[in-house]
Amino acid sequence: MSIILQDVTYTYMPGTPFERTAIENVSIEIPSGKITAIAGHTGSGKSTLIQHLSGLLKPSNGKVLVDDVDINIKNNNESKMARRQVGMVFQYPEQQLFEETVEADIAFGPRNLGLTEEEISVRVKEAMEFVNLDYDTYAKRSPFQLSGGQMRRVAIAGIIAMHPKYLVLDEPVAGLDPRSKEELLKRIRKLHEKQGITIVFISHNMEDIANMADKVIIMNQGKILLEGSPKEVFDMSQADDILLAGLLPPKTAIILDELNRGGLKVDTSAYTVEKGVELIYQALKEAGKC
Amino acid sequence: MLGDITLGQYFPGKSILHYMDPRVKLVLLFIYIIALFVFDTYGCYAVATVFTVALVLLSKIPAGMVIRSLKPIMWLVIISFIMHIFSHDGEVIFQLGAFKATVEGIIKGFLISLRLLLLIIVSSLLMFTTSPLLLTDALEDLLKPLKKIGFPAHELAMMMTIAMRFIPTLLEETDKIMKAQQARGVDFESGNFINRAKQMVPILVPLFISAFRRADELAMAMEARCYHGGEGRTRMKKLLVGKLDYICITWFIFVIGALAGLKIMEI
Repeated sequence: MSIILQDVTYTYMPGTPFERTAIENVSIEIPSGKITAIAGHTGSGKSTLIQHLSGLLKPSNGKVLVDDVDINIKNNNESKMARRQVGMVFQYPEQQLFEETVEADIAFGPRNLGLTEEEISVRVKEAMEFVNLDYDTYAKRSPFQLSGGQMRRVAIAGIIAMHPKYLVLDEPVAGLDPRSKEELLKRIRKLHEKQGITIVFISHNMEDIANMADKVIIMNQGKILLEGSPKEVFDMSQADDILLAGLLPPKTAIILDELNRGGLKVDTSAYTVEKGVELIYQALKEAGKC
Repeated sequence: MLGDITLGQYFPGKSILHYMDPRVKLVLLFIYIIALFVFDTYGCYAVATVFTVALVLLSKIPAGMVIRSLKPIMWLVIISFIMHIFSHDGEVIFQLGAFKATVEGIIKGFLISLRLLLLIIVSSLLMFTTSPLLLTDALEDLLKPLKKIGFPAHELAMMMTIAMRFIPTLLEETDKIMKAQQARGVDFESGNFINRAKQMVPILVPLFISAFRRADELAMAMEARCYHGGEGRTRMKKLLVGKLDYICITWFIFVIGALAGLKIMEI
């Protein structure tokens, strides 16, 4: 069970002078039950890529399979159901709120699924709890009275309430203050752990990716540059490739690498801060320096 | 979806038409359109067609783009053609009930359609070869004399510039919002009229909110840069009528002269 992209190519405005191929022959697998992170420079095709996951863009060439079902067959019920498995949260999702109350806005998606009113109200409450918005306080408020971070959580709740099996987020923490950012990432991870939802997210922040992801995909100029576990991708021997893609490896990996070059014998396999501190401490102890 | 629409047709290039002063282009276009209506003999149509095709070649705009710009008015052309076929007296070819198709009608219809097509082609050439910014500058400059009678030339040009600047932005935004609501289960492709109208609400509300927000931010940014209307405002790039323009004007006078001559001789 996974989302599979087979040789997907997408061209914007084909047949005009503005023709531009955003992604070319991309084949990837989004494993079910894992957190996958996609990184890449602006214009590398990440957003185009993830819009294929839920059928919002139809590939010019190639296939998208969700749990072995081709999601781009017209007027096919099975195909439609497969598309519904994938929930999509766009960049700055708070800009898409429109209802008069928070509750109504979150209920919009489930209502489009044709659920009963009782079921909808259960799902709204549950989704609000998941994004840490108190039902009694916020349900009847206008979403436009909330702060930016709260609005974003309402928007994400609107997707969660649709109970997707796969949740795709395009830069979920862009433009948030550090505290809201930490909080939101924590909530997303919790959603993954508690409900087993597969998460796909785009981020520019390698620290966030290092902390969260089971699988990392790095894109450059419409193609997959690197793919694998964080450990494989953030191996400093590939640092040049990452730099080439306009990104920086996680700071921890850079620091460990520099230390090693400076003469301290330290294991460079870590990419998260916690693990990095541990390894440096260990190396210093072995060198008899503390 | 919406992403495939090209609005604001400017097509950057390095042709004579691109380098001409936009004011000269506007005035010449205006005269040319009047000429197309006034000079209506066969000879005139022939010369005008050749001249228009020459302009297209001169502009180095791909022919496909020019033809595509005709698409929106194609129906108008076809309908007016059909109307003309049946609305002139003369040699009858065939009859549909009370309607008689005549040879004269076909000829007249053809000429009228040709005139319409030429009109659209030259107008879109102006749009293709002139950036919207230059175009509004030119308009402002040409309308300046009307300021004396209280016509807000600068304000009008500024509003047009801003409107044009934001058309692609708003289109992009609409596309994004449509996709986001689609991801929440809205189906734009099916349903009856009322249902479809209802589905506009989740698009229009966010779109209006963001448009107002943008307007507010833009007004603030303009004020922060001391914008206070057109009074005493100078330009970094002044519009200049140069040698190239005089040459083009001379050529243009020749063409108009030829058209007028043909009309007088009724060729």
